Amino acid sequence: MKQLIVDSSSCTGCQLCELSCVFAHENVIGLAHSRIKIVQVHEEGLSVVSVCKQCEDAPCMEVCPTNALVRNEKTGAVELVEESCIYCKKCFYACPFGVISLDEKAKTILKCDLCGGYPVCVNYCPTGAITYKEVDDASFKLKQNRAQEVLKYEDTSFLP
Amino acid sequence: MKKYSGYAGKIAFIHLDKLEVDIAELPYELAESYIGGAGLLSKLLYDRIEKKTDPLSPKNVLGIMTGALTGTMFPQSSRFTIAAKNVLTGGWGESHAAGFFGPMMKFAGLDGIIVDGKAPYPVYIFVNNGKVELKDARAIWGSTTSATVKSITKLHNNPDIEVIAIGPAGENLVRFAAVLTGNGRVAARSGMGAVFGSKNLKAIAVYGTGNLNVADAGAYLYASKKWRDKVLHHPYTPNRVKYGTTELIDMMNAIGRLPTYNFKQGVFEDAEKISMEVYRKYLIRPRSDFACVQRCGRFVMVPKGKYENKGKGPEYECLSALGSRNGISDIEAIIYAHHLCDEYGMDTIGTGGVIAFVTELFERGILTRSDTGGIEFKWNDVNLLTQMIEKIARREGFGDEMAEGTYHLARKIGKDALPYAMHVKGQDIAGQEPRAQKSMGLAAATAARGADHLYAFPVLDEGSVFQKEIKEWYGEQFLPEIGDRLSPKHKGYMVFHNENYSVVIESLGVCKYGTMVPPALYYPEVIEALRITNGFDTDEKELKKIGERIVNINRLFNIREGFSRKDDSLPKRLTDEPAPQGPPKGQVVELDEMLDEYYKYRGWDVEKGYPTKEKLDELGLLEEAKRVLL
Repeated sequence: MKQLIVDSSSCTGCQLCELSCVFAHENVIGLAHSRIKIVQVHEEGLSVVSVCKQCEDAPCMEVCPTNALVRNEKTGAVELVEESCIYCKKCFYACPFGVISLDEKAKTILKCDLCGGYPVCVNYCPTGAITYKEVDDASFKLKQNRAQEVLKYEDTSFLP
Repeated sequence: MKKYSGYAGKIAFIHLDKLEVDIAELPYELAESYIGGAGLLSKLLYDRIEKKTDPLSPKNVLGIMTGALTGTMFPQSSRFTIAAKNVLTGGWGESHAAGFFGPMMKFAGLDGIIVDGKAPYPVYIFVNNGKVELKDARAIWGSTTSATVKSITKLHNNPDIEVIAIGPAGENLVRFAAVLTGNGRVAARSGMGAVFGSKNLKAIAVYGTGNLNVADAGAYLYASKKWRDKVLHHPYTPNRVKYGTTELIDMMNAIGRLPTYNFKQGVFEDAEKISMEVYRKYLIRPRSDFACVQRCGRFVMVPKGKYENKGKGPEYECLSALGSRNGISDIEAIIYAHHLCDEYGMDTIGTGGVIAFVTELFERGILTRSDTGGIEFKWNDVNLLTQMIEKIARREGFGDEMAEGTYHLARKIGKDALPYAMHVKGQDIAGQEPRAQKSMGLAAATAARGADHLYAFPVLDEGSVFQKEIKEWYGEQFLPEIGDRLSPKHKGYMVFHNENYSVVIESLGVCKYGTMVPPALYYPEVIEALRITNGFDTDEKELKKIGERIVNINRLFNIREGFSRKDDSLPKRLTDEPAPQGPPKGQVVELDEMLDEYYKYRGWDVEKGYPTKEKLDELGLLEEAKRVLL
């Protein structure tokens, strides 16, 4: 099964993933309704990307009292059935990654649905920090990135 | 009145005298003629600032405005404009910055903020989902820029809040004080930080969860992907990512265009020590601003020693102003000096400029230690550089005099000093030695806010890689001279054409990287973006006319303050003294010849440089000009 993998070390913080996510789901431009989130840590020059991991044993599904969260067998995504959501926010609190957001106005939750198997954020990321791949491939790429980061520091004798 | 999409739709008018806020609808009919951002502010402030207003008095009016495309998915749509009467020139003043503030202001429900008066005590403006409040800033008055951002973010307990702030330099009314964003981007020029300070305005914080509608939602995702790809896959982009703008140090030194020793020459013998490869050793990673795919932002670290620091690193202008212009080759010192300028909130060009100016006066014996409180100025003195930055920002000792900026200091010292003040209209010339690129000389001379490379940004003739685009932009009839950086021929047309385009770009709120260099996006993409984002039905001819209108109203602002052709000048060094070495050896800037041609294309009279009645009529500016010219 393919998974959305984010690598914050390659992210430069342009937020195009958030913009494209919002537009694909809501047909408007904005950030607040994004299912993928970037936290900017400007003083460290870092942007931390977080997105739903579509957990196999998903706490959000477990706690939902109305079965509003259901697994899409084709993509593996845990999707929201909006009509069933009673906005009790239990999933919001249960998520160990904090990647479920609240839409106060519409009284519903916001959660990544992998865009039905064609996640739009991947297409807009200019740095390749977001990939949609079989998990094995992705982990190899991530390890390589980490190795390069370390090498870069070694190279310039930045490490103590 | 038709309402266009893509705007937040509201402007806040803030009267600091009474600590009152009025929120009004965006004047959409003005958006049709001026688009937004810098263009819209040109009109709004022209109408509100009175003739001969002291820029640092409560009567100056300050505007902060986003563009029509700010906050959208158009590449690099991060920018906003700060404008007011110019603290350095006394004419039109504007400054622009990227970051995340502009987009967030729109999501918070405001296209812009217009501020007048002076608050009775230090305040900051807080915009929260359309609600505008004035908050007490007495506790953070005196803080550096990054500490201010941190305090406000913490106070509101919201990591997504976006803040712009001034540092001690702005509070102390240093004439070249800047305004910084939370991620270290700087609206540096024209002394906008001092205008903030003069109004007792420490910062503006915005937060909002709003959205912007677009005119053609069906076409939007496809088109924005296409624009993104055009910029991302441009052959020029990989180097932007790898080196940011620091590669210009190497390029400009090679063509003799790197201002060195206060513009005495355009070749720096130690350029290698501040070159792109040396800089890269300090690079942690490239950084983007909002919707930026080119990532020219640099996050750097000097890991240990006297200059230990980390944060947003210097770009080309800082490297040249704090580096080569002062003969400084210690890159760690430059990174640290840049860091200090950011923390105090000062324009690095103005800072490097005034230090280089005083150093040359020392060299020539016009100033001595008795004038400077015992401080000795000499080239390549890193201790002097960091020491003077602190003294200027705090207005201590001779730093107090230098805080007035190159031009005002020169006038005070007297006529011996004036030839060495490298300024136009009172603002320091940026990192372009115009004897090595004539178009840049003309651009600096004509720019509305005083010496400026960005108002026209003539960059296609710098090297030889953009020949195809030169033909596309200007037409075959001007070839080959227009592409020759040492030829003054047709540069009047080039600057005319570029200014018209560039002020439109600034009014859209997008970056000139991607739209001007590399020229990945041009009028067709801008027209498409305005159509599907905002619902404007426009064409190239109309946009060029809007560009002309903005340039002309900026001109009227300056004419109202007494400017004319005589102020579209360059220091004698650049027009009369041949370049001493390198590729431009023997060259001077043939300014008069280029100005004549420029005025001809502008429809301005050649003697005074005033717009003709026909031109004003064509642009719909007769009413505006009445008060000044007719």
